[in-house]
Amino acid sequence: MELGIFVQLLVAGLGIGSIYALVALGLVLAFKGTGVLNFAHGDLVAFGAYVALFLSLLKLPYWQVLLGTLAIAAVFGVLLERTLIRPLLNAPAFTVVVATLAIGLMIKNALRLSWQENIATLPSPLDGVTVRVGDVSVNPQYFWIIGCSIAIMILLAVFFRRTLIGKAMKAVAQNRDAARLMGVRVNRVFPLTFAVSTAVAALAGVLIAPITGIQSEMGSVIIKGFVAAILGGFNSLPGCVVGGLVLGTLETFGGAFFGGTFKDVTAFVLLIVVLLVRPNGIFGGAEARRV
Amino acid sequence: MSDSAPIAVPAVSGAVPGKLARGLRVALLPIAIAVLLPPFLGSYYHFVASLALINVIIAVGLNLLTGNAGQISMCQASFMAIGAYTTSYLTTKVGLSYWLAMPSGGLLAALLGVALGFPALRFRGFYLAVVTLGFLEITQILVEQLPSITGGVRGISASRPYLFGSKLSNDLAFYYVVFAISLLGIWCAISLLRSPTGRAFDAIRSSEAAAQSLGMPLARTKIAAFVIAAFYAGIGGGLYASLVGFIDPLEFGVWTSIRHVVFIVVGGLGSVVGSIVGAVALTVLPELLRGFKEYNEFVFGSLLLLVLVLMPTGLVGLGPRVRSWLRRRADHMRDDK
Repeated sequence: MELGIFVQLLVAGLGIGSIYALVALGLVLAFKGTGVLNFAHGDLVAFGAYVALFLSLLKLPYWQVLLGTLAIAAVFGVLLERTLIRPLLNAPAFTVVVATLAIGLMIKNALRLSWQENIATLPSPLDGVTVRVGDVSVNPQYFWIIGCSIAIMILLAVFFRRTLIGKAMKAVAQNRDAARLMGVRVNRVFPLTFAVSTAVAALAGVLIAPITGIQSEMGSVIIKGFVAAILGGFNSLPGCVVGGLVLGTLETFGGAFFGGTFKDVTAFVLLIVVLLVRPNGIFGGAEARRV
Repeated sequence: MSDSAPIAVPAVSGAVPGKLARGLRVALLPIAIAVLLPPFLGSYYHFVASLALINVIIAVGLNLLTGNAGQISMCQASFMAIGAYTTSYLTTKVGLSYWLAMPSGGLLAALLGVALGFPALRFRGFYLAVVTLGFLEITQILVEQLPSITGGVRGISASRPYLFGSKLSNDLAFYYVVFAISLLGIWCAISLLRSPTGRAFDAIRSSEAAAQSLGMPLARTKIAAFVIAAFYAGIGGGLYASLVGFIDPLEFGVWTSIRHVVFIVVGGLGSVVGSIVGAVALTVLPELLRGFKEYNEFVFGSLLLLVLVLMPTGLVGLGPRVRSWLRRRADHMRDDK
């Protein structure tokens, strides 16, 4: 295979994979922190893209749009946790699934009504730049996606290891009662967890928008996030990142060699195979179950 | 399976004939209305009523799986699609009679229910929800990618069946066919729930470990639940294709699956009557709210949240609650005097 095409596919695969990794990170963060698997997470990605769209209509520069979106998303995450997620904290899995799906549906409907069915897109910060490998050009937005994703992952790692709040969030995720006994205000940590989770989702939305465009169906990326998270073991943050990158690369190369059908089906085949062969993912440890 | 679940059925058997008779008496009025009223209504009402009954069939099947056996499924729309496409393909392209094609659709859906049930044995809760969502996406992609069978994204047309040599193009005639089949489906579900298999469903929902320790075959029971729910959805899909006359992949997405779940949650989990009430009410409601069509998902979403939080037993759970509230009120009144 020609080097140029290989690089083009690799960059696109890692770029898309970074998006999947971000989606998976947000999902797993909220799941570990609160025990709620948020099926509305995909629609939070769409929410981020739409917020950025409205901010960019105000003719703000890109970095203001980006930071503004993250801030608005974080506030939205807190509100979401306070109003809708809080009653679900100790609910059975079925209730959580159905309720969060309902929340997602409402967000999606609201987004669609806000912009009608029009297709929109965001400008990319690297719009004028061209990247060429040999005679093949690579979309520069992929580099921006990868760079931003790496930055946010490093930030998150530092946040969880070095800051008190981050450590408190980790403690709550490990053992809620023990954390409470150690003086962590668990009820303050939950909204914070959702703020981080929603902001990461919104970041994924802002980053992917220049490539896929903005529509209310963007939320379906949640399935890819699930697959990435399951590949990574569903309880490990580095696992999510690797899972997302593996999925994105496999999908992109598979699609180039075997056509679009293969690309669409890869994620689900991978999902079923991993769950059957290695249900704890590549990184996850075995999980004990209480009977 | 009847011999394989040796659980003691505590003294219910004696009460069944009386209960059955009471059940029949309660059912008589709705059945009489459903049979006698439609000839006096317009064709649009026949269409909506048929749609409601098709949703009843799917909801009854899903409720056995989710409400009774306790397994989450977000992919009833896929089984519906399998039934619908099989029926359309066999009738229009192969030339098979509808009365063979439609049950084949149900059987194929049931077969794929086994295929899904096996991996589903290993998952519970969130994982099961994710796996069934994945299954839904796969079937939708396959429908789009196999245009020679399914017509791809452009869809495929389906025709009305012939009965006794005449085509059922009349909505009223087709309504009676749907009505008969849904009645059969409801009766089967009620009988099933009274059988050892039905009791095994309830048992594995309450505690898999306890059910297993009593000798219930967990794997077989779970797969049976998946297969039955898939069969109901497949039959519903076959009827749906014929009623609407045209199907495309958009009909069978996540939204449709969520609607099926809304039916049983709003109606009442684990109750056949709940499935019927939920499906009928929530098929008719959007028709009444046609002016607000774009807010449809919003209405369904908020309804679902409200029901989950305020009345987890659904509409059928309201009856006993209202009765006990009235009794308490009466007691208070008496005490005050």
